[in-house]
Amino acid sequence: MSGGFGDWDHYNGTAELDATTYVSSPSSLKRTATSTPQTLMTLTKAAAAQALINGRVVSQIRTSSTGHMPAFYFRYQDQNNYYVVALYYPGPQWYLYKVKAGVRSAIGLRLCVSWTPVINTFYKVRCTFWTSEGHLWARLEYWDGSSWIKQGDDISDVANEWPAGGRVGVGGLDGSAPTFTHHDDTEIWG
Amino acid sequence: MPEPPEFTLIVSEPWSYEEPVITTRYAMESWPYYYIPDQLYPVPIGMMMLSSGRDWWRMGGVGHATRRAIDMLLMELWGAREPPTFAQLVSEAWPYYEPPSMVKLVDEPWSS
Repeated sequence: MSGGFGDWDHYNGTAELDATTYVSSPSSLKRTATSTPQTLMTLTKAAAAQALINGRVVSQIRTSSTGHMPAFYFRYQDQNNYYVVALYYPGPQWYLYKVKAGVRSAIGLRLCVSWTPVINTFYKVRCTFWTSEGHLWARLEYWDGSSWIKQGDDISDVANEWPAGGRVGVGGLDGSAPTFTHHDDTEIWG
Repeated sequence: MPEPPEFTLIVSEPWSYEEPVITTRYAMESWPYYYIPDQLYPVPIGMMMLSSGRDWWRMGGVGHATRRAIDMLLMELWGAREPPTFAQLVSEAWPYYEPPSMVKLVDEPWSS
């Protein structure tokens, strides 16, 4: 079930295993921006996760800059069509964005609850997406060491784009060179 | 507010280096030179390559800092407090890390 670096597609910027910064030894995934702004994606190649309609991504996340948002991608069709949940530290708050035909729009945002993330620190987070009542729903939760803390109400998109599902993964959003994000102990559920 | 359905785990990714195949190539003086390839590459004397999946560290020279870096990496791979000696690598690594058929343990410089 576990794969490796080569079992993921890494789009934009650079991707590497970092043996100096991690949660679980010996390494983590490091995504570094090489231009401004940049959308960094790391999507699983797992056959069972190529067309997820509903699913969950769990990951330890870390960023070097408040402007470089750790992100979770789902319903991915191509570089111009997908959903992304991104965590913006200055709020702190999180967004559900939709990128359709290359145009990004914010579906909604929620302030973080009982959690003030700071840069250069790992946090265990999970993003859940599913279809219910004809809407696409997204939820972000933070693990406080004993339980999952829901980060405000779920956000929904009545348009429920790409209902046949798509690819999923992690990465960073709006990174500017040379900022970076780290990801460790990543799980895909579906 | 609707609740998500139950999910099952599809992928668990620790972002760890792939299990290395350890081969030793040189033992010069009292200091071993290692490389851990996932492919067969010629390694000049004084060079060392550590492979972790698709990532490679190429280290030239054998100064103290480089030795220390090699030690740290090997200890991490080895799971031991002390780096393995050349003899340990030969006697202990081989049974656990079956080398690719085209890789041979040699103690002479690369000639091709």
